[in-house]
Amino acid sequence: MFTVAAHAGIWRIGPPVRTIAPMGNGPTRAQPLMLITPVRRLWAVWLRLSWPPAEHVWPVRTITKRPLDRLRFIHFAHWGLLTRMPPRGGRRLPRPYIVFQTNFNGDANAYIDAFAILIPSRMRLLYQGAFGFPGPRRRGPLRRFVLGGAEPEPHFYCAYPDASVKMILSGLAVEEALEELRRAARAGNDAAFATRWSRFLVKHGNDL
Amino acid sequence: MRHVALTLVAPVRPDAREGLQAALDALPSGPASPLAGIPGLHLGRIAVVDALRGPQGEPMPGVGPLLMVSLDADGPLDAVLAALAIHCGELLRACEGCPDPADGPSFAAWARAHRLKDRWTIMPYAGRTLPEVRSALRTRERLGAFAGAVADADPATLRARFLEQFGDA
Repeated sequence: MFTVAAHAGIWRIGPPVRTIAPMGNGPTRAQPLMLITPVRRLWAVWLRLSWPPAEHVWPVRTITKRPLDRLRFIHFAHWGLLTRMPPRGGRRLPRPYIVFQTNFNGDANAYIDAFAILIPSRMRLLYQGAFGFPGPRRRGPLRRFVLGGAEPEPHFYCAYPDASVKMILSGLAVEEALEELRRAARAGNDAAFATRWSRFLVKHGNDL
Repeated sequence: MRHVALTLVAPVRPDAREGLQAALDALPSGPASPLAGIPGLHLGRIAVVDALRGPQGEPMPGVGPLLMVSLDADGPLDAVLAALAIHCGELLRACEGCPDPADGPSFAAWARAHRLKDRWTIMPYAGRTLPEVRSALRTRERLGAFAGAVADADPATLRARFLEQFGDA
């Protein structure tokens, strides 16, 4: 089975802190994780200012997201700031909370390690103002911070339970290439198609 | 089609906490999940958070329990909310102030007021709809099997078999 550790070339450091699966219902490759973290009020101001460019402005967006996109194990990850209840127009909470939700493939410890190794500065920019955040360098405390604070997941649904992110992105890539193969096949030259097929395998062999 | 990342956070009525948990525990998984009825839903979850925590990890009095619903779906948002009302409305009625899900406009207004805006996201294939993702997965599987089957085929056979299996767009 595809794992974060194997795919990212990341080795575990020390024993796992806590096993997170099975959190969802039924066997799926995607695992859900949700973390609700209290932060200092001034830190919430920083997040409000820093998130829009990180989400919408090139090249900040590219720089902050590319390392995680390249790993190909995150289906979706969302960060939001909960300051009121209800979230829109409700009463102000005693302190703000970062709400982090993600669905990923593989081992939860390796997932956390990947963030710490690949985007340590981004982690600091997200969580330095959170209560109890140990920083990205010390993996054991970081895992305890994340998994110890993770909320239970009573019900989880995935529309493609057998698929990993890598399989999905590979499928999208080969589907794009398929049309070109079709055109070559319809052109009627066996040798030319065989050459095109060989090129396809060289480029997309790992996607199949 | 625009991807909808919907997170709802709503306080649960104190008298409904136990019943809600029992209802969640009893939900069927996989294709029988009520979430499966939401068209274009990629991934979804429903969780009860007993309490928000303070700086030392202590439960914050008066904040919780909360029902959290999180959906990554093909849009538009109105269609997602309408389907959520139909398939998960009874669960959401355990929340304070949740109107009758059959009252579409009132339910949508309530849901929007309880929506937590996502500020930073990682969504590597968010531009692709659920049918596109499923089609891509099928294509990958078929092409993988085809590649194995024609490994030793001569060019004429290779092309003929490709057209046979993939010739129709």
